Amino acid sequence: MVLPPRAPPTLGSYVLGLALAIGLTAIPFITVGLHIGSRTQVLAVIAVTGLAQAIVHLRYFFHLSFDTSSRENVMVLLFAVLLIVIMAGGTLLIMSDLNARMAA
Amino acid sequence: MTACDAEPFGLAHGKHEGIDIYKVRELGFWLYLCSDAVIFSLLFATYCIMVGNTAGAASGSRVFELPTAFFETVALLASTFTFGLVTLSAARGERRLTIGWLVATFVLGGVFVGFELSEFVRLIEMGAGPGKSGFLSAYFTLVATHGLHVSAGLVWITVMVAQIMIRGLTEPVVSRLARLGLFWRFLDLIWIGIFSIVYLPGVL
Repeated sequence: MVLPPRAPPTLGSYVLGLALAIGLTAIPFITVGLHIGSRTQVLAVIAVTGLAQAIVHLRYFFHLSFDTSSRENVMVLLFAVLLIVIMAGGTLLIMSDLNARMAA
Repeated sequence: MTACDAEPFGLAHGKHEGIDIYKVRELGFWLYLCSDAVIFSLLFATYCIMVGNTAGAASGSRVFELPTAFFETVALLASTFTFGLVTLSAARGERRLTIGWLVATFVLGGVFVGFELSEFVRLIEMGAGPGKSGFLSAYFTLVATHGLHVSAGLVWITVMVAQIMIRGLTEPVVSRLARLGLFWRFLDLIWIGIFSIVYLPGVL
């Protein structure tokens, strides 16, 4: 993920971020509220719009990018993501494996 | 800060080499936020494991209401936007506007906490309190941890309004305001996870 160079926060970037966030919030809520599609399809819509909105927030509200002024922040964030994948992902893997073995 | 970026290459070198104490504090606060994100991720993992363990008590589709989650989302997203306006006003040195948008952020955050508390009361009154099942324990732990963070943010906003009124928009005050902004945006980011993992799949 290579983001464009960091720009100082402007009203325009906040408005654009807000518009994108509203859209990415409305889509899953409407999908769930109106029961559009199968359960798997709805869960996929929720996952994709949720991830997209997280990226919109990091880009337009946190103003994170890979230039020199926020590189350390991005490195720390990536390390936290690694920890989360190991700890939360590992927890889910072990518990679902135990559940499958106990139920079998 | 951003002014350094605009300087010709080389001239800004000395500034980048020198230690900017506010940058260091921001990075330190960022470290705290990332470790907080690890805590939340484990609460999310616990919830995902516990979501089916309803022990005969209420399941998510029976206790969650989509409109409540929607209004909470709108309030928190709007407050993230008004905090953006706080940042812009503070950067321009407009003291009254900064305080005004901070108050707006406080009101929206207060509306969010109010919605959340009324939902907790509703659940407990309908016999779906945190002691009823593993699912409800995990739900209350995750969502209330987030709610406590937002409440702490409300206290912090009050402190910052007082500091701006007494000291004005000095460099240390603006620096604290920037870290409060990071904290507030982080809480909205966590909320995306809560409505995507707890409420939306819950009402399906």
